[in-house]
Parts: sequence; C-alpha cells; structure tokens
Amino acid sequence: MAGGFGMVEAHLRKKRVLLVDDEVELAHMVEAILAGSGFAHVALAASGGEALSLIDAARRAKEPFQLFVLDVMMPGMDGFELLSRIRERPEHASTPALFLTAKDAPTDRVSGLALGADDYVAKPFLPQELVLRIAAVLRRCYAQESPLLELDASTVNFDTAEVLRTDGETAVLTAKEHEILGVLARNIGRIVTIDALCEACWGTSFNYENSLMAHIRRLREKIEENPSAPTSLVTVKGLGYKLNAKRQA
Amino acid sequence: MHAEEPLNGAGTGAGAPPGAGSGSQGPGTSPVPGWREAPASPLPWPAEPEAARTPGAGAPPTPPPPRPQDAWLPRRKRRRDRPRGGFVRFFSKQLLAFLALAILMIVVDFFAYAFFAVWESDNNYSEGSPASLVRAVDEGLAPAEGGLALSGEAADALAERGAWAILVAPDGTVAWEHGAPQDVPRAYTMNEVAMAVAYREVAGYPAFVRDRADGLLMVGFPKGLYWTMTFTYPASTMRNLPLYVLLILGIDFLILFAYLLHSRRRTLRATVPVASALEDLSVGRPVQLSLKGDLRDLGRQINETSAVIQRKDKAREQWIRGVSHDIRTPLTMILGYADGMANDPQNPEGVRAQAACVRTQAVKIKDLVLDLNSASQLSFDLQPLHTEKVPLARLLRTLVASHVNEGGGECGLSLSVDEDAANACVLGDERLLARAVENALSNARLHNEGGCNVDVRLSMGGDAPSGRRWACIEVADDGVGVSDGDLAKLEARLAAARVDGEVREETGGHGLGLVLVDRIARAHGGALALSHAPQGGFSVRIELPLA
Repeated sequence: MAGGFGMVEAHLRKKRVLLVDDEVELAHMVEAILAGSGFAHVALAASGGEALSLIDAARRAKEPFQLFVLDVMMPGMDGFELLSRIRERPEHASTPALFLTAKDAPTDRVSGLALGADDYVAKPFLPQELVLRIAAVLRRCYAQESPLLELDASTVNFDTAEVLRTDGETAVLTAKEHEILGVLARNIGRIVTIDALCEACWGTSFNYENSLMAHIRRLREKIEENPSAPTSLVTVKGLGYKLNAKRQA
Repeated sequence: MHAEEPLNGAGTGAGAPPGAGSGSQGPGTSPVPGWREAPASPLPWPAEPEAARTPGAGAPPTPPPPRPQDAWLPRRKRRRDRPRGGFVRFFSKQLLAFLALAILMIVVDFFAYAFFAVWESDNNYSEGSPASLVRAVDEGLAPAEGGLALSGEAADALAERGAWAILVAPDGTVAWEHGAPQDVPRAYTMNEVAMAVAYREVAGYPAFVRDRADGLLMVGFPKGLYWTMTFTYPASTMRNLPLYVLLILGIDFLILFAYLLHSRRRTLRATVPVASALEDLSVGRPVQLSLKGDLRDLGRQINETSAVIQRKDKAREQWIRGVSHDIRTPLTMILGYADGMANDPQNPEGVRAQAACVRTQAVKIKDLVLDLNSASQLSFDLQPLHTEKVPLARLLRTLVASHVNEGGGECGLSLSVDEDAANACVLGDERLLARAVENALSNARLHNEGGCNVDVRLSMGGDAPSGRRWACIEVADDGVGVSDGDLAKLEARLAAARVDGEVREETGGHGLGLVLVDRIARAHGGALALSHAPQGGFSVRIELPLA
C-alpha cells in the first residue's frame, strides 16, 4: 500500500523485520503497510514456533532480524512468552521488540515492558501510527548511520559533539546540550515536550524548566545563524521544542 | 557496513525514553509514553452524587466540587455522625412510651384490684363481715327472764354462717352460749381471753369479740374459714413503708425500662447497616452483611441479592469486554486497508475519497469501542483505578504535542498553561484523565468537520469563601458552537446519565464521549461544565480537585 510515510529514514527502512501474528490476514495487511513505507525486509510468522525457527535460520544465514513486531494473543505460545524465548538468545538480548495487542489493560503494558519490549501498540491502529511507532523504536535503538546532522546554519557531529557553522566557526556541545540535541534530532520534525526533554536530561521535569531554557538558549547560539530568530531549533508555544531539518533549497 | 548495534539500553525496555516524539498517538489508542506504573491502590469513590450543574455562558462554576478529603472518607464513618444527636431523641421517646405504659399498668392494676375486691366481697362478704355478724348478735342478745335471750334474726344469722356465740362473764366463766361446740372451753383465765382476742382464735375456731357491759361476747366460726395475721411494726417503719413500696416498684420499672431501651436500641442499630447496604446495592456495589439475632435471615437475604447482582454485572462486563476485544482485529483490518486505499495515488479520486470516509468512520467506531470499555469499567466498578499523582501540565503537553505531531486533521490545536497552574497535580488515573481530554478533543473535531481552532487551557480555579482550589482543563473551539436549546438538552442528558449510574449510549448528537468525560471527572472528585466558548464555539471544562 502506498502511503506518505516519508518520515522513515532510509537506513531504518533497510532493517530486517519479523512480524508474528496468528491472524494471517492481519499479518499480510501489516506487511503491506510496511512495504508501502519502504521497509524492504519483512518476514512473517504465524506462531511462536514458526517465529523461532525463522529467527534461528536468519541467524545462521548471518542476517539476524533487527526488529520484532509481536502479537500478544496467540494460541499456544503468546507474545510475552515468545519474547522471553527470543531474549534468551544472546544475539537478540537487546533487539528492539514491539507488541501489538487487542487488550488495553495496564497490567499487560507492565508485563510487556518488564519483559523487554520497547513499545506497545493497541489494536485497532491507524497504519500511520504503527509505522511511526516502529520508526521511533528503530531510531531509538540504532544510531544514525551518519553521525552528522545538517541544519540550516550548521552541521552537528554527534560523535565528536562538535558544531561546524556555515560561517566557519566551530563550537563544542556540552554534555547536556549534546543530550538535548540528540533527543530533538531523533524526533526531527516533531514536537518534543518540555517534560520529555527534561526527563531525558535530568530524569524529572519538576523545576528544571528554567535550566532547559538556558541550555536551549546556548544551543541556539551555537547552531543558529540568528539565535533570537531560530529556524532550526524552534519553540512551540506551550508545548516544547522542535528541530527542523535543513530546508531544501 | 554500518554498525548495527543498538545504541542504548533498548533491550532493557522499562522506562523507554518518553516524549511526544517517541511515537505519535492515535486518539486514545494506547497509553501516553512515559507513563509510570502506579501502585494498584483503589480510588475510593466520592459517596454522594453531585447535584446537576447548571450551565451558564461563561458563568463561574457553581457549585464547586466536593472537598478532596471528603472523597476519601469511607461512607460508614460519615453516617455515624448523625445518630449522636438522635440518641437524646431516641431516649426521650422511649421514656415517654414507657411512662405511658407504666401509667396504664397502674390504672389497670387499680381497676383489677377493685374488681377482685368487689368480687371477693361479693363471694365471701355477701352475708356481711364477721364484725357485722358480731354486732348483730350483740344487738340481738338482750336480758330476758331467767338470763339472756337471743333474737330470732340473730339466731338465724348465726345458723346461716354456721357460727356459734358465747358470753364470757367478768369472772371468766361462760355466762351464756348458743350453739357452741363441745371443745370450746367454758371457762377462761385472763391470759386465755387475752390470747383468744389477740389471735382471734379459740380452740382452733376463728373467733371475734365484742365488748358488752355484762361481759365479752365471742362469736366463733367454722374452722379454717378465716385466716388471721396480726402485725405490729414500729411507727417509723410504717411511715417509711409507702416509700419502700414505691422504691421497689421504681426499681422494677427501671429494670423493665432498661431492658426495653436496650432491646429497641439493638433493633434500631441492626437496621442502620441494612439501610446503608440497600443504598450500596442501588449503586451496584457489593454488600456483605453479618447481622445477629432476629435480623440474621434478613442479612443473609440481602447478601444473596448482592451476590446475584454482582454476578449479573460481572457477566455483563465480561460480555462487553469480549465484544470490544473481538472487534479490534477486524477494525484494524478495515482501518488499515481503507487508509491504504485512501493514500494510494493510483486510485481514482472518487475511490480515494470514499476510502477516506471509510477510514474516518472506522476511527469513530474505534473511539466508541474504547469508550465503551472504559465506561463499563467505571460503571460496574469492577476494576480498581490505578491512582497516582498526575501532573496535569505534563499530561496536556504530551497529549497535545502528539496530536500536533500526527498532523493531518483540519483542526488547529494549541495549549496554554497558566503560570499558577504549572505544577498542578491531581490524584487519579492518568489513563482515564488522558481519555477524558481526548474525548473532549474528538468532540470538537467531530462537530467541526470543516475545521476549526481548538485551544486547550490549564488554569486554577478557586472559591474564596471556602478556600477550595481546583485545576481546570478547558477545551474550547471556535467552530460552529451549539445553540442554547441544544446545550440545555445536553446538560439534561448528562444529568440523566448521572442519576442512572450507568453510562448508556445516547442516539444522535453527542454520544458516549461527553458522558464518559463527565463520569471520569466525577470519579476524580471533579466536575464537567459545558458552555459557549468565548471564541464562538463550544467549550468543555473539566474541573478537578488538587492532589
């Protein structure tokens, strides 16, 4: 299915995905959604057993899966059990996994997260949501292929924490600035709330809003052409901040 | 080859970095990322249903939500405050009743004594008392030639009674006799006379005396006919006797009264739990009574009724949950393919438009199913809500940011948080609160398909006289708005839903969504207010007590 899912970066779309759901039609639909978004390697399994054999075969072929999308309610082995079996395999101890489920209970969410799932999508979902969630999970887990981030007035190197401005000057990011910019970059083009940024840096948003503002100000001085009129790191009133990708000329 | 290793602890899972950017939110599809799981402590329900609120265009909220501390009081404790004043009333009522009873007893006793006295005297004194007979004999005994002679009537009277008479002369000998049996002595010493008079008895016969000039007249009766008891007490004792009688009577009455009081009180006490149990039943709560004594059967009956109601509720809730669960997968398929078809550039324009319509309707069904699930949980009270301290500003920012990130939709969305509300926290279920706000947002979207601007605002409200403060989440749009008549109808529907205690789907117009918002607000001790928005459209205000 075609879809305007240009939000998923190329390097993420190349990841190998295993989708496990006992409802065959649903699995095909999700496969079609992912294919429409440009995911080139999607494999299907209809049960836990089938999934495990596919996983082992892929590993033997030196092309292990890089993302698991698991249905929770399956006859025989359910999604939770399947994930814990997957996690037993050393090479998949930290491969990202995402649950699809029709249940809405908080207890499921806790079990899911406790078992090492990275996210949880409840049915019914809009295809767009699923793709964005998958992209977010992949983005969180896999470093950007290139550590460089190109902005309007500068280029940021996340590996070295350096900023190379178009006017030739360089600046160095502090640890907090690196963290903040990292979160914004991973969610490029989307609003990140004040709370999310504070929590990423300090673990809590309580009383850190002013510190955040100060860091943002300093960041703008480093990456923007005109810190008082930012084009890359913009404020969204009442909500948070957004990092805009470089404007295509 | 690029490095394929995951960057950070993605595998550890718990506490994945929160943020609106970590994934877009479908309206109400899944919990807001970054939720911390709360300890499962049940949220006690506020006991009294709030009075229906009257809408007013932009009027200040009346009445304010109940105090947060009231919401946590167990029901029984509050109820106990009342009988304290009522005990005095109860006691005086019982006392009056008892006094009336005592007076009745005394009156009946009096009449009974009187009756028996009359009856006995009729039976035994019809012929006259012994004294009157002695008098009659005395009068009938007159000197005649050769001594004394008794008149005919006196002799008849004696014979009637089976009595005899003797006259004892001053020297102790019997000067005259009439019908005296053999074993009656004919000579008496002074002592014997004194004893006979004192004990009213001669040789075993009851005897009564009368003083005459010529001696002592003694009339005797058949043995065993009369029983004499003489008593002599000190005068002081006789004076005190009435008091003693009264005192003992008083003690008797006191004992009776105490028992009456105790027994009535015990019965009344037993009915209080019954009354509150019935009230609990009426709002669908489970009840377990343990009554003693006479009311034991009643208690058992009520418990059984409660169990039956619980079973029915549980069955119903399970059915709803089953249905809503089974719907989800088919709905996912409908949503998925409809979305795909709507977005496929190769489809003709008409087909894409229709597919988009199918998608929109499927989203509505999805919202309805989620609402139904939450509503059934709330009304059947079967699942305790997970409570924690929820910072409202954070919740709203995350919600609104994810909606904006999702993009699409014709409604512009903005959020403003008042400075004094920046740290407002509410004790409650974060998921339900998010659902309430989501429903308000969907409501605005649903009724303004042509697009509008929705402003979400978090502010503080306060009632100066009582010092109460609450947080106010307002979702206002500048869309088509609602007429005064429709607003009134909506308020009426909400009020009816509150009284019903159940959340039922209303047909036409505003659906389950707002009723659920109302329910969630009240479950947190707050309230919902609907009005015209200052910017021209519709405004939904959720007021919540602070944690």
